[in-house]
Amino acid sequence: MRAMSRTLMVAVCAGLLTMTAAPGSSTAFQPAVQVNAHITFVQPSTATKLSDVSMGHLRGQGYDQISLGTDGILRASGRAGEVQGQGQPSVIKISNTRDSVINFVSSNYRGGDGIGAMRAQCSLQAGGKNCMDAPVGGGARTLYIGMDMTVTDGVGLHTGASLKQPSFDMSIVYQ
Amino acid sequence: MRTKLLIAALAVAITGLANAPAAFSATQSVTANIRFDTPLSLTKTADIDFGSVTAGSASTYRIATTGSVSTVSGTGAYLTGTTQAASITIAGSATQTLNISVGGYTAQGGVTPSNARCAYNGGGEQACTYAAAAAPAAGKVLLVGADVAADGTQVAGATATPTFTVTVVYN
Repeated sequence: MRAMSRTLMVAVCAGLLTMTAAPGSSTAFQPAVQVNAHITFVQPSTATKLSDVSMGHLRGQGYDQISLGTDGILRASGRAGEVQGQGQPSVIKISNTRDSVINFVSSNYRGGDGIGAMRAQCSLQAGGKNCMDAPVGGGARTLYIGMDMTVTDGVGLHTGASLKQPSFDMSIVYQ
Repeated sequence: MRTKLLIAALAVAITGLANAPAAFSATQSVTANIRFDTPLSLTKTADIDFGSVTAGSASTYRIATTGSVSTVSGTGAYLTGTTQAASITIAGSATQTLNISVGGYTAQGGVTPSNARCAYNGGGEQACTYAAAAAPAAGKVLLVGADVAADGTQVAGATATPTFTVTVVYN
């Protein structure tokens, strides 16, 4: 009888262990979810600069403001009065934009040496509508870039031999 | 005859048990322990999206749990498109901590995933191995990023969808 009771007790304890182990078991229930990592491959857009901005030779008494349009027309104004001439816009070939909408963003203006307050202008045809900060459709493009700048006293533009090379970056940004 | 003797012996034994004094009885109280809790549930609300990267470049890219994509190695780069980390909402017990793990990395289209990174319940980004993450209760978000290595065979316009598995269990 005592042996039988012992047997029963062991059986009950085993059942008890089984019942308490099940809810906390980490293997009894393992929810999992599959994560998909989507990735698309495209040919990067290219921008090939065919020419830089050239303002030619400016002669006079020193100009306060100089502007080169995307059509190459140079306008200067200041103490010497209005001056107009011909320069050369920068020309950049753009390709592989596919169907993406793109923006043109200028930055990193580097003036100095009497030249400051620069601002780029661009158009998709010579003398056309300014495309700075205005999204346009993709496709092969030719970009014409002009610029405005101010000239401070003593810049020495009137010497003719003084070459100034302000610069800036033009970025093509996908949307 | 033998059967009769056996029956007689059993009858005597039963009678003996019935007549046993109370002092010889033993009683054991058995308690049945059982706990009830909420089952774990995982609800994926977003997959990983690397956006568009350079075609034809053997490069490895990383997407952080914030969704930003960077180049780990190679000359390729993220170019365009919306990017996002995976987002999984975990719900369940308000008291049981979690063990979170990642495995089953599966390449597809020449793109191999690895090194999953996680951010659970607003915490910082770390390897996706949690020994005792906070109990999820009504719902806590697990953000998941990863690395993918492209073998450079991908042409422009190609897409790939490598996968891996996130597993969550109660401790």
